[in-house]
This record gives sequence, structure tokens and C-alpha cells, in this order.
Amino acid sequence: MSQKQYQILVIEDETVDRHLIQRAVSLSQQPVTLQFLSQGQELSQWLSELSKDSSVLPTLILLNLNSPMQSGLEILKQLRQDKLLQLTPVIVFSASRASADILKSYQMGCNSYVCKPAEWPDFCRVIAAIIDFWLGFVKLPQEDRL
Amino acid sequence: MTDLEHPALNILLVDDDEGDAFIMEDLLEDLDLNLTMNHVLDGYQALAYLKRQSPYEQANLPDLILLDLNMPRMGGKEFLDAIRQDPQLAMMPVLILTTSSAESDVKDGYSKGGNCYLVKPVGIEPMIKLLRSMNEFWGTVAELPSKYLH
Repeated sequence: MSQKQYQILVIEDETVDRHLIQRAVSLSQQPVTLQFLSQGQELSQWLSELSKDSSVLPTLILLNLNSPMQSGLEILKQLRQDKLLQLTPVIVFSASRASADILKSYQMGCNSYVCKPAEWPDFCRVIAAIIDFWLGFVKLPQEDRL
Repeated sequence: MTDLEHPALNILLVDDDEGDAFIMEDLLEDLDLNLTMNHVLDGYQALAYLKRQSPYEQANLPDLILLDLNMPRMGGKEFLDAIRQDPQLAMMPVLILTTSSAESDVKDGYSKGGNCYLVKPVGIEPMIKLLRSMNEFWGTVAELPSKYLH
């Protein structure tokens, strides 16, 4: 992986999962900065600020589906309609293994769907695989700006 | 079975460059990845394959597609337009794999519904690294629609 600094936007309400993602990314020792946002008002406010300052565009988005505030699928729809983020890859990162959630997410334009593993070694392996493939090999729409 | 065990990943390579396809087939055999690959030469053949039209009546439907952009008869962008409008095929992950790194192609690739855009690596070692990483992510980590559709 090149020494560009990548920014991953993580839309995640659960404090424990935020901590696990942060820890697993740190262990990967890759040049990745994480930005966490809660679903609902915090995300809406961030999207509205993004339209004024697009220099903070993320290179990749991880989206949790389950939220008490707003459905993850509604957020996916919102992201796909956002002028600045519509091409940014979105990986749904969810505890749900329900086929309806997986199929609906692909249907609504997620770039991939990953289930959160229950075991910590698997969790680290999943985060490492996301970073290795998506930031190491994929040509991202925002990449030329990095 | 742990969270990360999956059946073999079945790929359809759509690429008019037969040399590249041979190299990839040989590498996959050597690397012993849990992955099988079939190959067609353009978007037109790929559509026939996915719809199990002649001569592909017995085709094994893929979990994902590796798609070149520049091909005769039907190129990658046209193929993407066609499958994203087909309810039976719209959800199938398509990984664009092309020699072009032009910003306009990258943008078109994503806006037409490519799940990701990969530039063909030059040389064997970089190709091996890409195949390993692709297999780890798409073959082990990602949930694929095919598991629930076929």
C-alpha cells in the first residue's frame, strides 16, 4: 500500500463496535484515519457541512445497518443520492446475517456487504482484508485527490 | 464452521485478451486458492452465459464477475448498463479489471454500477498479490448475493 493517508468514514452508533474497529485498524498499521458518525442528526449535519467543504471527503464508507435512530438502508439511499458521495464505495458492516438485509443492501447500491464477526481474531482479519483489498488494490473515485 | 468459512468462489472473467486469461487461470491453479474461474470474450458472450443461452445452457452461475472495459462487440460499460437493468442480474457484484486508469473510466465504472475498479497489475508478482487479496475479501469476508439467489 502506498503512503497516502486514507480516510474511512464509519457510520456506527455502538460504542463498543467503534472501539473494536479503531483497535483492529490500529493493529493493521496502515495509514488510515477513521471518522465516526452516529446515524440520525449527526450524520445529517456532517452531510450538510460536507457540501460547503468537500476537502474532507472520505475514501471509503463503512455503514452499520442497525440503528435505533435511522435505518441503515435509508442512509445508504441518502448516500447514493448525495452529489459528493454517490460514487464513494460503501461497505455495509453489520451484525445482521439476514438474507433480506444482504440482498436489499446490494439492490440499493452498496459496494459490498460484510458481517461483523463475533470473535476478535475474525474481526481483525475482516478489517485487515477490507483495508488490504479496498485501499491496497482498488482504484477509488476520490483517490487522485489524496 | 467459523464465521469466515465459505464455499469456493466462482468467478466469470469477461476479457477479450486470451493471454491475460491464460495467465490468470494458470496462477489460480498454482496458488491453490478456493476459487474457480470461467472465461468469456466479451459482454455479449457474458450475457448469454449469465442467461444460460446457447451454448451456455449448462453454465455454472458465478458469484462475481471480473470485467474488462475495452472489448469488441459489447464492452464493459455497455455490459454494466445491461445487467444493472436486469432484475435477475442487477445485484451481481462486478469487479472492473482493466488496463485503463483514466479518471473518466474510473468515474464511469462506478457510476454504471461497478462494485469496484481494479487496474490490471503489470507482472506476475503484483497479479498474485491482487488475486490473493481479492480471494480473501470476496471469497472469505464478503457476503455475496449469489448465496441467497441461486
